[in-house]
Amino acid sequence: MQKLIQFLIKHSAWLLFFAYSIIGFVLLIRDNTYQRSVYLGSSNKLVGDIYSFSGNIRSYFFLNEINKELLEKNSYLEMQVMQLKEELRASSAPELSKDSSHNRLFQRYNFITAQVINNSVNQLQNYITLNKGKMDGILPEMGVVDQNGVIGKISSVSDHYSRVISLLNPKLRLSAKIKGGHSFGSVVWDGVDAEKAILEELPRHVTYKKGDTLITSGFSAVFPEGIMIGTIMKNKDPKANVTEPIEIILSSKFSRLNHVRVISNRLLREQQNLESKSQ
Amino acid sequence: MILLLLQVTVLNHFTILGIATSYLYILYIITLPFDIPKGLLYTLAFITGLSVDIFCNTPGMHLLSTLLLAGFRHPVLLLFFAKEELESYPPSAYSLGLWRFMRYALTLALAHHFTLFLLESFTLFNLGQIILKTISSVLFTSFFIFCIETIKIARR
Repeated sequence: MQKLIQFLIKHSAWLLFFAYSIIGFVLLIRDNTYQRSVYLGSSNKLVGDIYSFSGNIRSYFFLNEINKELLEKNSYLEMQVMQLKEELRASSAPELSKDSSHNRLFQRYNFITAQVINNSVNQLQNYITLNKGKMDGILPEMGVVDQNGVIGKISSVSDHYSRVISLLNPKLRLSAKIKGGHSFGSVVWDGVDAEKAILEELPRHVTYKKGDTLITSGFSAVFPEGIMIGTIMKNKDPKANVTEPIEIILSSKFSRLNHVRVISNRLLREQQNLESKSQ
Repeated sequence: MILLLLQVTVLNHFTILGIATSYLYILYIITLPFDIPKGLLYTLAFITGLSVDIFCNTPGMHLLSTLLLAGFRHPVLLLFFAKEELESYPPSAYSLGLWRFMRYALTLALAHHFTLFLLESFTLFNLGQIILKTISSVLFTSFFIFCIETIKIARR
């Protein structure tokens, strides 16, 4: 306290100077409109710059939640799109859809979002673990997709976790068709590259080009029609006689899986029971 | 001091080509005694600047320039003159020699006018004009200071 008072006394002249100059500046800015406008304008800009910079940094902290919200919204919207497509198809053939069964088609497919907590791409048979299980409504034999394409099929579930047979696993065969065509084949992984797979059993007469999109055919009960699988790598060789395995590039990046969606087909059990009975 | 204030009310309206104006009231601050206590110096500068501001309807501008002038006074005095010369009389052309005093007055006037015009435009947008105004006004003010000091010398 003593030292503070001594300091103040010693520098009292300077302090007086500063006090007077502060009064001067306040008067200057307060009472002169031109100076005030310049001051306010530049201070607004400076404050604006600082706030935008810090706001930018702060927004990074919320990215995780925003991401999750966006994915939920995304899956909801895709579900709606599928329903609308069904509706469109049903309404374009009105004589066939007079009964109430086509209502059930709208609620047929449901998406459950989940996060990948374990993944592998370099083994010969790859499996994925998700953080949702029986308590969230996941049952075995359900299909798993992400926003880029097909991922795999649920093999087993526990209460809170589920195991997925990845597409990078020779045990999984997908029924696929070329977009815009009608003939279908099977997609299977050959164990060589995590980004490529093989299309087999395509009828010999079908022509295809490089870049043709491969989508799910909808014939299996697991995946609805129209989900992307990959693109064809090379043009069809017109001279080749034998059906060589056709290479495709998978559309999903298996090494970077994060959020996926599990498709629950409400009529899955019914369809499977019917198929197994009639075999 | 009252004289100088009256002069300012007259002198404000004298402009050369509409650019240069003379601010003679700073002569009062320039010729204050050397060993005046700093607090008193600043207070006098404050009052002078404020009075001129009130008359000119420019709150703060003259105040800040005069305050700056008072702040610069001590080091500039020591720069131009040795300490012994200043202790007996307040600085004036009579005690220090006309041309040396004019140099000192010119420097301080330069600082004062530059601050004044800078504050007036408050941006560095038209720097050329500010400098032009400063130099012409400094010459004008110095001219008047020269006249007054000469008259003072002649009277003694």
